[in-house]
Amino acid sequence: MNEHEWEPKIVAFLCNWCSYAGADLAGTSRIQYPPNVRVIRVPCSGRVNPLYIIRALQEGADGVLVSGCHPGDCHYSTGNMYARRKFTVLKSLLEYVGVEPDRVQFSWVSASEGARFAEVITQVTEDIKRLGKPTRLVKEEMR
Amino acid sequence: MNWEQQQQKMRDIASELLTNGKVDMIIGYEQASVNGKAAPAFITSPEEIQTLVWNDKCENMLAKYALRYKGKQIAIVAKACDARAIVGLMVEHQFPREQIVIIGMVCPGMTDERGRIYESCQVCRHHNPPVYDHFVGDAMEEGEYKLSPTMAKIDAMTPDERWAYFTSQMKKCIRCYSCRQACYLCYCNKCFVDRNQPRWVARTTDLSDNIYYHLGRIMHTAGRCVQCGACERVCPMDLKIWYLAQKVSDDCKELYDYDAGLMLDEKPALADYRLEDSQKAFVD
Repeated sequence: MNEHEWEPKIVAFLCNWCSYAGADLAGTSRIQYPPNVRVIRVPCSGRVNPLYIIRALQEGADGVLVSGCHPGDCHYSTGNMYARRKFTVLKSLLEYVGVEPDRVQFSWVSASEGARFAEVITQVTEDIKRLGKPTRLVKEEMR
Repeated sequence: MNWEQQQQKMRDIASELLTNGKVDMIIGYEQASVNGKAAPAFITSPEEIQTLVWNDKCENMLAKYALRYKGKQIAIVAKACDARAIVGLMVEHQFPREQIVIIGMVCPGMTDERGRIYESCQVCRHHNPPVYDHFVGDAMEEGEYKLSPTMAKIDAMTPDERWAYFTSQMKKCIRCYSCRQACYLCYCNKCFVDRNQPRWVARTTDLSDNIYYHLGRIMHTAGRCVQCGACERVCPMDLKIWYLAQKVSDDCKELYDYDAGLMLDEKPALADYRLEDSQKAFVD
């Protein structure tokens, strides 16, 4: 492992209707992006429980990304609006206890934004690589 | 009006409510057997009224007990934070307004056994119960926002120091769940920590699982918490956890202009949204 550059594993919670389709579009458009994301498809960004994010970090994910429809475009009308408040508070709380701000990220990517999806993934992967392996929130046995 | 006068007036009101049969039970405070503290009292007959007390040791959060007697007509001796907690619970449809008589006590702040005022009371802004049926005491001026000593200390720290401080607290946690038991917001039939399908919190002594529990609980109470400080006062290991609750409440106030427990017709911060809400957590 040592002679290779460390590659982070990033868990991405993508909403079925926008970001997941955005990832699909990036794929069908043959847009290149880092292979570091492990996608978990969820019905809506509002479905993502803050505990999922903390659990992912506990169990060895190096970073977490949650992405959903742009505000106003939610398939369920308002799911992402609640998600926005929830994640804003969560991110602020995580920063307050001392978790690196870039470790957990949130974004809006629509179904037509394949290129943007690739950009977001590239950016998030770079950020996590810069931060290095996480030491905070990780379970003892996962270190 | 001093503590004794407030106590007398509170007893008079309680006595009248019970004798006229307006309520089945008064939930208030009685003298506890240790440390000169007060303990919750559940009074059902007018003869027991004299055991009710009101002093600077009445720190228990009584709204928790109101949940236990749903469906009964009760009166509750509510200092400002209890009254706000009751409002919060009514917003969450836990009981109707008619079912509960709020004897609102003006509260200058509670003190511990050594007479030091609690941190949560030091920075308290709402000394007067916002919703009440009886108002006991002279209305105090609503306070300005004050930064608590712990938060001021945290604000001056680097992220690494914050993490060190946070984990130094979390390491002490024995996960007795007293903070959950004391919290009036923790009324779920089955708490996530008690669930095992799926098992949310592992049965370990791992620091990471302690953190998981506390962050999970703080997120569950986010935007609903009235910052009464019961979680921290009840802790047998003296964990500083109240600053997290305060941080989240401050965020809700700053970002969404929401103060829990003041209005009966306002949704909790995280159960509501505006199109123009802050985008600061999102990458653009």
